[in-house]
Amino acid sequence: MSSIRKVRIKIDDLEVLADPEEKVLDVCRRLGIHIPTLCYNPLLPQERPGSCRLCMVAIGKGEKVYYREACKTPVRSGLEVHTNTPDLHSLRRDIVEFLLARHRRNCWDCPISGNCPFVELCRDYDVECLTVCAECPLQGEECLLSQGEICLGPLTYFGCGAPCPKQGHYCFGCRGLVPHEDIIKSAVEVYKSKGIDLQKVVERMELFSYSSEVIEKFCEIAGVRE
Amino acid sequence: MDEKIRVGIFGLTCCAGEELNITNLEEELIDIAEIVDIKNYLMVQSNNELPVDIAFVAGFVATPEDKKRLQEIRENCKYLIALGSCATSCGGLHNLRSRYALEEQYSEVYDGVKLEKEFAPLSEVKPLDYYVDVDYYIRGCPVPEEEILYYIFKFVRNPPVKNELLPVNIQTGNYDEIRGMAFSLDPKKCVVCRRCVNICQKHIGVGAIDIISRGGGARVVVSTFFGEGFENGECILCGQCLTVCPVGAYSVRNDVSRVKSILAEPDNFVIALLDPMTCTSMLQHFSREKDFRLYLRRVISSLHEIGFDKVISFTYAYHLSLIHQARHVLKGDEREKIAAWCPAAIELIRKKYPSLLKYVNVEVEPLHMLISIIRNEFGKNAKFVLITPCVAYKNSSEVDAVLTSRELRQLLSSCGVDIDTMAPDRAGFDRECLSSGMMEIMNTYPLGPLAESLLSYIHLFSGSEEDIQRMQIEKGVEEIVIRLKNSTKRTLIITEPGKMEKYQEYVKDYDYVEIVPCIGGCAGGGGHYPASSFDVIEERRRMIDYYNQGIVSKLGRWALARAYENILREGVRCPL
Repeated sequence: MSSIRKVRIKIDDLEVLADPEEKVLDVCRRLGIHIPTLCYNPLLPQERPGSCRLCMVAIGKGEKVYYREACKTPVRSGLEVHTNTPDLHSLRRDIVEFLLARHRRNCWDCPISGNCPFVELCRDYDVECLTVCAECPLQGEECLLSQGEICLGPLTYFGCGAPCPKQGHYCFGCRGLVPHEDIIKSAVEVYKSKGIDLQKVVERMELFSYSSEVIEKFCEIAGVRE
Repeated sequence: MDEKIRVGIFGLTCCAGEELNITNLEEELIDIAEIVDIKNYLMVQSNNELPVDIAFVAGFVATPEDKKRLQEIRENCKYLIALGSCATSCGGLHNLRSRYALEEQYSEVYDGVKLEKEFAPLSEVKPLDYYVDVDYYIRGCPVPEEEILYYIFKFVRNPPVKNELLPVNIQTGNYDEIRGMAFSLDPKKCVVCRRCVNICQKHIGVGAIDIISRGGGARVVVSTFFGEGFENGECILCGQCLTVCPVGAYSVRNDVSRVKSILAEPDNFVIALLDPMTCTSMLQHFSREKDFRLYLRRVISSLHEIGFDKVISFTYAYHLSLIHQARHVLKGDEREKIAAWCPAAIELIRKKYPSLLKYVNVEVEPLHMLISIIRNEFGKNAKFVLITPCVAYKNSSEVDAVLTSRELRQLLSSCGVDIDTMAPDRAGFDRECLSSGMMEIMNTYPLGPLAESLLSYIHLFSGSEEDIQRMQIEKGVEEIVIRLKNSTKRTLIITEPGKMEKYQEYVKDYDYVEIVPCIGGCAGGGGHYPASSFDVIEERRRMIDYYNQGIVSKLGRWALARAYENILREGVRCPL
């Protein structure tokens, strides 16, 4: 490497030297600058599909700013990179929302729930519409629903880290109910498959979210009266 | 240059618990006060003023006065954050009053006296965003303290972005779940990141998984006919797609309930074949224990606790296979050219390179060898449960159930056993079923590539000093040349099976070929908790190394030499 001349680039107003073979993402990782990635696999660093577009960075300055994915952009002399601007933040946030929109959210049965990099991304970018089950590590027989408890995990907003189910107590639903049709539908299915009385679920939901539109929808889908 | 960010904390009608909760941030409160300027906080200070930059509003709108106040706050702040359950979801607990008519409430609470004007309660309770625009929501009752801190520091560091959920829902079509004996894929969960496609096509070189279509309609499919199971397609069941998927679209067959029903039967004599590698990722993710040897003994004693009668180390099987293979490599047997210890590698040759099948002796598969030895040992009612990080064994019919790392932890915790609090088993693995010579050596884990362990056996059987030369041909392909007294043995280690295509014609020139499909060997198997980087896999290998040292150092050099001598003299009871 020493025979190759290094190039001088600027990342977040920080002047650094980089090998011309490197990509912008490698330089940022080396410097400890956090760039979110989803499709980049650290176990196969040479394969970069560049399909998730979460690693977008702003290149250039002033009015002439254009956006490129960091994992594929090679380093060249005089490059000026910004990794965290308001525009980038909203761009990445939109991407996470799009990804979540096409992702089926049955977190209560997910093999990696409690250990999910996608949930981390959603939390970092304030994308809601995931449930407590996404963060709950209890699965299968451990799941409180399997033990007959009326847990509101499949309906409640995530973000708390599921402290109550972890301690063996059912979820109260204190964070409010997610008004998303897919989630309500899958929750009705879960409760039905576990043999839980849907009327009792509605009663428990009323504790924190009385007169919420979610309860109406839930009753409509489940076929119970309010 | 910097003006401090002005923060206001407001409370409408509520228990004021959220406002109080902010004062509970005792350690951080001084830091917060240095960074931001708290302009409005009725609970703490008496000089309160508007406008502010960020307004945290707790409570709900109960009266016209609340409504007026809320609108005033909204006009005098840049960002409004709804704080707590009451503000975010329809009044929270307070909304329970809506069960009764307003008249009833009056007679119950105020004895019929009516409140008027701005103090008269509103007939319906709505969330804050019904009246004004809300930028962020902090949910919970009470609100987690970290979340308040997160939002305060977030505003200090980054200019925030408006919080609006996009009304987008891309239809993914009616592709049903692809289920198989061992794996299943849920295409509706997939976010089309292409990690699994890359690892399957480029690393393994199989192409069982692919993407169809582009853009919004793209989805990942398994190339089987009409949605048949994985194992009927080109899949070799290596399980690498399981470890790389960031959203958990792939899942593996769960055997926990099957094991439970086996344990519940009182007549059954249940034997666990435990691979020590299984416990490494459990230790990494879920334990406070530091010492891997102790942790392994804790796992053994918890397995005894939930009803396993014997716990045998699965490393026996590897050693049996290795001893057998080493002898045949020295003899120059054609049938033993390709290592048979990895079920995924055998499957790869069976499906992708059938012309090489004559070089593989499927009989030497470790599980098959071990089971054929110990099957008769424990009588008719013996049931075998294999606990391994390798998901390829899920397709095996030799044992009654196969558990991975995740399932083992699930089984133990659903039986009410906490591994950390169990006393370490004093005896360790049961070893009476194989009593030829000093079998402690068979408890060590042959760290992959197994060729290194094979070398020690070749050295043992040839009885001569050998000269070893290692050569990296290219990335993922390594050649080891062993010069013995009368002959030279050449071995080929392929850690990137995708390169096999190129080397398949050279296999006949080598004496021993080994294929390692998983990244990082068995430490990166599909049954582990997903590894985020190489360091995690490397740590698992170090743990196993440490475990091996424990056995070897206990034996001492003299005993070790005798153990090998015993193997050499008496031989191992071998089914072949």
